[in-house]
Amino acid sequence: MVNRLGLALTFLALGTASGLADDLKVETPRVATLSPTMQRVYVADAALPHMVDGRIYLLDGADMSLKGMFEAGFAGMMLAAPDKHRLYVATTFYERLTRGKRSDVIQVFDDQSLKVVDEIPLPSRRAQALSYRSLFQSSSDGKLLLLQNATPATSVMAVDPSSKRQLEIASPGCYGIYPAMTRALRFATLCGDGTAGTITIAANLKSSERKTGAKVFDPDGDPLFIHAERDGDTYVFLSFKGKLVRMSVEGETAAVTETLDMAAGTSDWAPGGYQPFAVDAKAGVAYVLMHSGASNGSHKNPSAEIWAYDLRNKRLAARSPVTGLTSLTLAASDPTTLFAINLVDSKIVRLGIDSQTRGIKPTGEIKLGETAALIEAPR
Amino acid sequence: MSEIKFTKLLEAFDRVAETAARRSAQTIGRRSALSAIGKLLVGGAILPVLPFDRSGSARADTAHGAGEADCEYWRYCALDGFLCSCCGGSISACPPGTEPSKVTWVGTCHNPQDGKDYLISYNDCCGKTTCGRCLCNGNVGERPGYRMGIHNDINWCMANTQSMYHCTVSVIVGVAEGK
Repeated sequence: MVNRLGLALTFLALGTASGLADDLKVETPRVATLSPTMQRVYVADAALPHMVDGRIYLLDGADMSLKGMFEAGFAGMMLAAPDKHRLYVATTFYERLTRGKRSDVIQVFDDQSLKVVDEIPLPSRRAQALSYRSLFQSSSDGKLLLLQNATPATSVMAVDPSSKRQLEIASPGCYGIYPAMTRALRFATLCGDGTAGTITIAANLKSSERKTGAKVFDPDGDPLFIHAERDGDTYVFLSFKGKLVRMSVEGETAAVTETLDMAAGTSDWAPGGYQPFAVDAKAGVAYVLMHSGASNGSHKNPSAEIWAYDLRNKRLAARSPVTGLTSLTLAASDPTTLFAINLVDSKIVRLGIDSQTRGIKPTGEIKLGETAALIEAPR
Repeated sequence: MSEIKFTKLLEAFDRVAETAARRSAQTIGRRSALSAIGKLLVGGAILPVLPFDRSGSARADTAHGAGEADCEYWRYCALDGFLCSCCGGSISACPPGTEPSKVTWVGTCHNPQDGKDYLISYNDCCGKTTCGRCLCNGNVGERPGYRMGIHNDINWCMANTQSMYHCTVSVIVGVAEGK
């Protein structure tokens, strides 16, 4: 039967070939390939209305076209490692799609073929949370993956992707992972009492030490978003009321080295979103999603404007009216390009930055996604 | 209390939904209008906000005339997720085949009918695929995961044997004292 069908299809194909228009020719199906130099944009979408089907979209930032997808399961989180040509996706699968035994894994994708090339089993304690950058990180030397757990008691899983060895590091009351830049085995985490824990992992991955310093933020009066941006060997954090807080996590305890009040004198405006800002470390500029009418509970509101704040001269450089954005990232390969998630209109947008004025304008978009939260443009 | 309970994002969605709802309500009645809203919720701008802990003391800010399938209903003042009322359950009952979450959270909501503040337990219902209808979103008092008890971007069905999130109920567990 199958042979007969195959034969029939062959005849059909030959028959059709003879009647082709001049500018058409017989084709065979093929698989598209990715340009190795493509401006990659990754978008993590939890697909909330059908959560078992989370996905990560791969876009070409040059024309904002969709180039492929990675499966992200239930509440999956992504971490791109472009130097290794890998995309790591930590996620949950259930034996019967929505029920049955829970399996948590890190799926290791090849970033050219988009296929799973390895899988690292995890204990079922990872945070089934929206994909925030600070919940899935790698150590600064790229050798360890650091993943947030929550049961809801919190801990961090340090994973060696080569050997698949793991160490669970208790971090009760703390959340978020901020790897030290000069100490590959060290990371910091924000804690609910306003301190930051600093964890140093033993080289043999068998133990860790934790130290806690003085308070670094006010979780009641002006909490910090858990998204943070790297700037040299420091992190820049952002508070709900619009303070940019520079923190060093290199030492045995974390320390705030600078606080800049970006929204001073504009009390009605505040940052908002899931990934509410990006920093151009080379130029020393922070780009922040801002909304007016700020109030208790508005910290995830979409943007009305993007503010460009000059971190070196400590002044607001530009305010650009760009609405509906909830997540923002700077292209690693081009400091004049931002990519963002517009949740209001369910689209992904590209934005151009005027390097003189720091004004920002949309330059491209694609209608895509349902509940996307994290966007990265790592190369 | 005039605090904004719903984000601008939801307001933007509401404007779209309202137009569609008004149009269909004029012709085919309220039930169908709600259905149209449900479809928009599924296909439109849904917030990536999971239906989790929201203790604190947010109050419903409208509530007059709002029904159990409306986000404005007073008990939903601190609810963030899909309403079980739209998913085969009710305001206090999980839909058939699901089970209430082992971990829950309590918000404080103002009932405009009697002027009292009530403690509301927001149990998630777990073990079936995500409902996807009637998403409500409130972030008053919400904090990042370093205050896990009042964080809402994480699955609070996580402590159940069957940890798939389906929808959220709003159960009165007491009257808030001194309010």
